[in-house]
Amino acid sequence: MKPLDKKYWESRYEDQLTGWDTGEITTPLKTFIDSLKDKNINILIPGAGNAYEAEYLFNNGFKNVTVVDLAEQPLKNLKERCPGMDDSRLIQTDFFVHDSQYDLILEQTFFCALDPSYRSKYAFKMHQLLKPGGLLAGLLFDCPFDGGPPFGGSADEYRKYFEPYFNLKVFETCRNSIKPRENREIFMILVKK
Amino acid sequence: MTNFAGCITLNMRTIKIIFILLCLSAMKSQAQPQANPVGCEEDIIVSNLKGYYSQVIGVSSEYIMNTDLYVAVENLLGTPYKYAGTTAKGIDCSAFVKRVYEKAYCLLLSGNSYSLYKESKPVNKNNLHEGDLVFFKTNRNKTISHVGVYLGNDKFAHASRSNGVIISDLQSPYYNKSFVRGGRLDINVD
Repeated sequence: MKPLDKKYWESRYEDQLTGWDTGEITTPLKTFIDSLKDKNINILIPGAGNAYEAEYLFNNGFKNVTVVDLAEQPLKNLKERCPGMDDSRLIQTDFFVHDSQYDLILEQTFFCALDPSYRSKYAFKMHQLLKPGGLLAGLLFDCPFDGGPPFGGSADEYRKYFEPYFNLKVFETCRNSIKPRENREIFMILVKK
Repeated sequence: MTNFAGCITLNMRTIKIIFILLCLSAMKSQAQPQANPVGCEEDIIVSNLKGYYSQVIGVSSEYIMNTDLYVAVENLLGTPYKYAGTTAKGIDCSAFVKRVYEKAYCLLLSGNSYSLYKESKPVNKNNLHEGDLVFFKTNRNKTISHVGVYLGNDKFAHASRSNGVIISDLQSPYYNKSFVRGGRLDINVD
């Protein structure tokens, strides 16, 4: 296990080594969010980084959006971009000790940032954080990487972690990925069992 | 290093699950990433652990992923059985399960094997997954009297009355006969 702690991530933001940062919400998540009808649901974005998804949700009238990240800088950045966001929902903590209940959790380059030894724990924790019938939706890389983060993997490997805790409503190659990630990511909508 | 102070209590019907913030032995090591220049010592421990448990469980080492779970089991392996014991000097089956869950999943469980049984979602033998609880009726009264933690390939870790903390096989005649069902914990279960 390599340490990927608060210090590590804060230095990556300080040094602007943020290759995962797309600068705006990605098309698959935008399309998914646009399909949501109820704007009062409780949404969590863990390991959110600069959290363009949170900004997009906030600007589109979703008021119950919580962002969790180990590093302080991206949360500050988000607060600057969205001054109206509730401070108590911008939480600097370790995802694995965060405790609340959500209707929806969005995944975007968080899973791949964790050491692979945390993957089965990630599935367990996501299950705990969701209300009955809650959704875990988002994107996973469907390709290997040299070293990491990001840590890659395959659809078959990921299924093993999720199937015990979720029904895999959608789990397929993403059709509207951003260009650099085309055919390299899976879009998923998992329903808590 | 941040000293985590808070903890949250969530009430299930009779189980209290507390998310503890001391969590993850990994986090402690993360506080001083430079202390161990290449992290090689830790890599060797993890690689030995994977090698050992892949042998014991009979799966390839790539299946030994959740190192926190195996470290938690490893730390207690060989501990003698002691009724109502909760420490490395002597431990009973439910205390063993609680220690493993605390280390591996940051969840503090309470109750005995029967209350854990009642509060967990049933999982049948064919669908058991790493980390699930496994329940047994080993006594004449035929109530749930024993609990362990499933690892994989029919192997589970538990504090056995006669052998202390060991890894056993669900297919062995004794456990096959006394196995009732698996259980998955969910803080939402009412």
